[in-house]
Amino acid sequence: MKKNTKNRSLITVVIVAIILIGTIGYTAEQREEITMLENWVGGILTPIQSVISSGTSFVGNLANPIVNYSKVVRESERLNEEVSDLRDQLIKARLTRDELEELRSLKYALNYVEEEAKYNTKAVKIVGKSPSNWFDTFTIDAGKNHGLSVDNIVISSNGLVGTIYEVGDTWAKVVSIIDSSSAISFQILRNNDFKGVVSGSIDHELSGYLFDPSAEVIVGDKLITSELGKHPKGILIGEVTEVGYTADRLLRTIEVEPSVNFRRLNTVLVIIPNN
Amino acid sequence: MNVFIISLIIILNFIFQSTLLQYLSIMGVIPNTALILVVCFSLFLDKNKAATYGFVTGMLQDILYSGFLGMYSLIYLILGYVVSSFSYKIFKENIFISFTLTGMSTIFYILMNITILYLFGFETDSGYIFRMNTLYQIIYNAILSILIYMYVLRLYKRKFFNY
Repeated sequence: MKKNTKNRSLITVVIVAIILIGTIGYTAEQREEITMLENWVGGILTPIQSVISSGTSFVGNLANPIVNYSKVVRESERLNEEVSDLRDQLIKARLTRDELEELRSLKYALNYVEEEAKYNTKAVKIVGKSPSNWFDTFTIDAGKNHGLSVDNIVISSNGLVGTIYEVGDTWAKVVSIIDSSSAISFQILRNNDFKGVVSGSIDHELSGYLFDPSAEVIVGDKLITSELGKHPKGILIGEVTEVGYTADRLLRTIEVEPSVNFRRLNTVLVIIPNN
Repeated sequence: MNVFIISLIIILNFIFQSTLLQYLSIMGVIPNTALILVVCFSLFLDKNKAATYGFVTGMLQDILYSGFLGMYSLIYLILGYVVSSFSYKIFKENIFISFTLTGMSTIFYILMNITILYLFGFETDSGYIFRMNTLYQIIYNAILSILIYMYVLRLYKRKFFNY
């Protein structure tokens, strides 16, 4: 009798394990719709997580300046320098803008058709991040009911953050650009002839290559999204920190420091295409 | 043991892991409290309950933070079942039992991760097991498990697990 129950529990575990392996295979491809159960579980858990992460980040924001006092001072010095630098650039930009406005009025005179705005944005809160050290995904507190859909782009004020992978009614799952499953086509801000692809990794580092092996790329170059991928053009991705060649010297490889600090991210913007 | 309390522990741990624990990362590594709890509870639960506990714990992580369903459920299911199967051979008063078991479980967890991702054609890296990152995870989990095990052991002594 005792032996019998022992076997039965082993058999149950084996059957469940086989079903689970089947589920992995079945859901390995990206799905259009998630199941009711997932939608429901996410719908219940995300509001609770939302409250707790708001509380945590509130306390964190209070404590951070006290704990990192010297860091804050250094940061403010750096920002002051940046402000004066940006002021210079602003003056130059104003001059260019005047010129642009003149040219635009000329365009009206010539009866050009004006392009409509293609995107809407929605600010959402991050409610929780993946507990795994392997994947870099997080959930946000808006979903289908707020107009979000699969493959929408997520950005923050500093640059590109990720892509929506699955949506529930009131929540959505975002895969960040440093996750190993992400790949983005980019161009170099300084010279948009140089294009390539960067992808994330298990170590949460961005690296990639340029299509043109003779491309002049230097450390410090800024990368923005190119129009080749599914991203809108011109979103900042990060800065090149290392340049090299592949072993066969056919491709230029680069290491990239993302412009977004993924550890300290609370609010993000979702770009919703208009149509 | 009360099903309600055990479910509550699973959910609270999950919420804790995805929000507060993110701030406690050391060298870029977050401890895996779900794994520690599965190991510690499985030592005191019978096989069926331990397997169910592991399954539900993994399911939550699968649903909210995985690209596909089933990987974490499978890992924790097997982990719960196996640890529970050996539990009657183990002297439970020794706190370092959790240290050793959690360390071994973390290695198992990472190996399963690599294997499943490889089998289903995801990008993976078999060298990951030899990285420093893996070592940090093992050490972090193992040390934290001592604290959690001490508490679980106390619950056990108060007849918490009698059902």
